[in-house]
Amino acid sequence: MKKIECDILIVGSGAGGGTAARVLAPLCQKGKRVVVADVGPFYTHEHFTQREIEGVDLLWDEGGVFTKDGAINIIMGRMVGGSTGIYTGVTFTVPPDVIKAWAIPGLTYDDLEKRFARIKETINAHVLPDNFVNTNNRLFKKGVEKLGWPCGSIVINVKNCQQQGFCNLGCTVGAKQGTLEVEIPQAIKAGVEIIPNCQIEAVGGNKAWGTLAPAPPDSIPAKHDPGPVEFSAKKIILAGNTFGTSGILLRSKLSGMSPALGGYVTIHPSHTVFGIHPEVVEGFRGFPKTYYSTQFTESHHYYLETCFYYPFVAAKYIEGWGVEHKKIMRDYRKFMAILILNHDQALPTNRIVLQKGVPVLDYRIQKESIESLCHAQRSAARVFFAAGCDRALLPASAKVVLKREDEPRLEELIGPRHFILNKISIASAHPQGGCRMGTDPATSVTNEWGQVHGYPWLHVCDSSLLPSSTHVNPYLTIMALSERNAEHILETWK
Amino acid sequence: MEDQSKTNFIFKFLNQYLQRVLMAFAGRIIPEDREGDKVYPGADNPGSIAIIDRALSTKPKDMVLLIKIFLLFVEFSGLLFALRPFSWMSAEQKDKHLRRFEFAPLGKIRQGFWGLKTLVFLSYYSRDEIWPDIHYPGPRMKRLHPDPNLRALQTAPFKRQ
Ligand SMILES: Cc1cc2nc3c(=O)[nH]c(=O)nc-3n(C[C@H](O)[C@H](O)[C@H](O)COP(=O)(O)OP(=O)(O)OC[C@H]3O[C@@H](n4cnc5c(N)ncnc54)[C@H](O)[C@@H]3O)c2cc1C
Ligand code: SF4
Repeated sequence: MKKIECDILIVGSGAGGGTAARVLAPLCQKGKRVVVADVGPFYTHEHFTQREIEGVDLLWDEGGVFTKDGAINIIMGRMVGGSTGIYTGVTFTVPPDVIKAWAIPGLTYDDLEKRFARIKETINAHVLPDNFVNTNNRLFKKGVEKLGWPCGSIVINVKNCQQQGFCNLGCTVGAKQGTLEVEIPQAIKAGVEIIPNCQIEAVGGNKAWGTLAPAPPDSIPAKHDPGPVEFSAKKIILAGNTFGTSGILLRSKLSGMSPALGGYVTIHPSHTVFGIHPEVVEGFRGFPKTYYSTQFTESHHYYLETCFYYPFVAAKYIEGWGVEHKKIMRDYRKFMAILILNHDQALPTNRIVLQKGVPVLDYRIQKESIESLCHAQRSAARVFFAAGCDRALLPASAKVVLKREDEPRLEELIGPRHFILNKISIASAHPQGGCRMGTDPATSVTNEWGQVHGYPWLHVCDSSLLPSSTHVNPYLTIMALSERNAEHILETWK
Repeated sequence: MEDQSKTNFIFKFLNQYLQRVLMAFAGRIIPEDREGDKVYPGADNPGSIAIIDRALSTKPKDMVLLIKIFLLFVEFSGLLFALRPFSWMSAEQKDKHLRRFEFAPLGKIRQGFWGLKTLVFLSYYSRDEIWPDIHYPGPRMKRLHPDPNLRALQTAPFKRQ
């Protein structure tokens, strides 16, 4: 077995791990060895091809991760850069109430706000200029404003974006300022070693055990030969996300581990829904997301955001099959698309469990989420019609295609009785929790600095820390929390 | 497993029988249709089935086994309802049979149908030749992929009438 000794081992290189690597990189100048191990390959943006079937190898299980009941498809990045390699870069700050409700000693909104501002500046997060707003987005704004609902501009972290429109298949020009483009290069420059294709199985007593796989073609290989590997480190930072980090801790069977381990997972259950406009929209061109509406955030717990996807994913999200479905797809260039994000509650029973050693999410969608998602579908239908669409495609509907004349009957046509689990498409790209922060080891896995209760050498810096849903798209919050936790490690480094 | 020399597609996971069942399934999920003189091909062609076979190569063994079992279940449960296997049914009978899966009382059966249907969508809408039918201009960048076989599967022509 190959043995690697280091001062700090970071497991995972996404929003959390990449940020921790950036913060801890200065230790390299002091002669310390900082290593980042990621199970995913290390591709540069030159690898991405803007083709769906070629992009699936950037995903966990090639996109085939589902909740245990098979009802919800979870999408996560598995590559150096983690999910930030395929995210859209929607940059939201978490509402202050959420932080207040977490009641974590020392974690103040003021502190986070400063971090948000600094991180946003580093990754060039800004509202895109008007010439970035494509027709799909313009129609959303038109529809939402016609209904008298608020329409906000989304902050996006891109630099020299060429509006290619393929953000979720990996940005081909490196414009998206995820960790692959910003934090990882900074860390490497400062002397941090990246070990891709390295899956960490378990940790214990300042050690981590894993397996290094051969590098796939077109990727940057690790400096070490493939095979089993044992890391020894003064500090181990887990940043494998809700699934990866909870999985490692569950497999490690450390004594005295909190019963909350793996629990309180939230996922932002979501739908992508479509309207069909009489004119050509070509939502697949230009930047996909520039607007959102909070009209029903307080009252019904969801956000409406613009989005757009490529033909296969669009086909997957549209109900039905056969000639009817095929004819709908022939109108693909006239599609208007909306993403619905429900903010679900953190329950101890929604948890990561191990199945044959693999982390699986045992999650039951709550009645409140189903009602919220149905309400959101009716709202999306209203936006589509207000924007001029003559048809709307909603999953929990009595009809595959709703026509304009159906609008007065939306309450009757769209509702929980048509929300058939495992029949309709529900997705999640925002798993959170599993190793939640808190003070009480009975209900939290990590303390106020993300250190695993009872294990001073073991820390967490990723989405698994979040005690409850951020309500909004979470990457910025994850980065800020990881930065805070990693800074604490740096400040207390002996 | 099977080298389909007739079609030049390589199948590693689906034997000829399963290919036939899947072809029958795919042909109902995305059937051939016409508008005027224009024929829009269905997903019941070896190229699409070869993409599904390729997609299975990256799936965990357990999942591949479940997919195979589900296909056989679709095929032979036809005997119960129409006294013939699914692949032998008429188009109308096939659609009726598939709706039983889509709306099955058991979530796992609905999931099997959803999963297989999704693979058919992947196999069809990721093929370059289909894009003009849906007015999708495709990628903006012409970049090669390290796996030439995967690219070849997407660009292999349909046999259009
Ligand atoms: C398609 C998509 C679009 C998104 N868009 C947005 C958006 O616009 N705005 C937003 O705020 N959020 C977005 N998100 C969510 C956001 O990207 C994630 O919430 C965030 O990246 C999570 O950070 P993380 O560090 O916890 O995990 P990740 O970024 O997922 O990184 C985890 C890393 O750990 C590695 N890993 C896991 N297990 C192991 C192991 N055992 N050994 C070694 N390595 C391991 C993985 O390979 C991965 O690289 C999106 C996500 C997806 C999938
Ligand atoms: S739209 Fe901009 S950020 Fe997205 S993939 Fe294209 S160039 Fe990259």
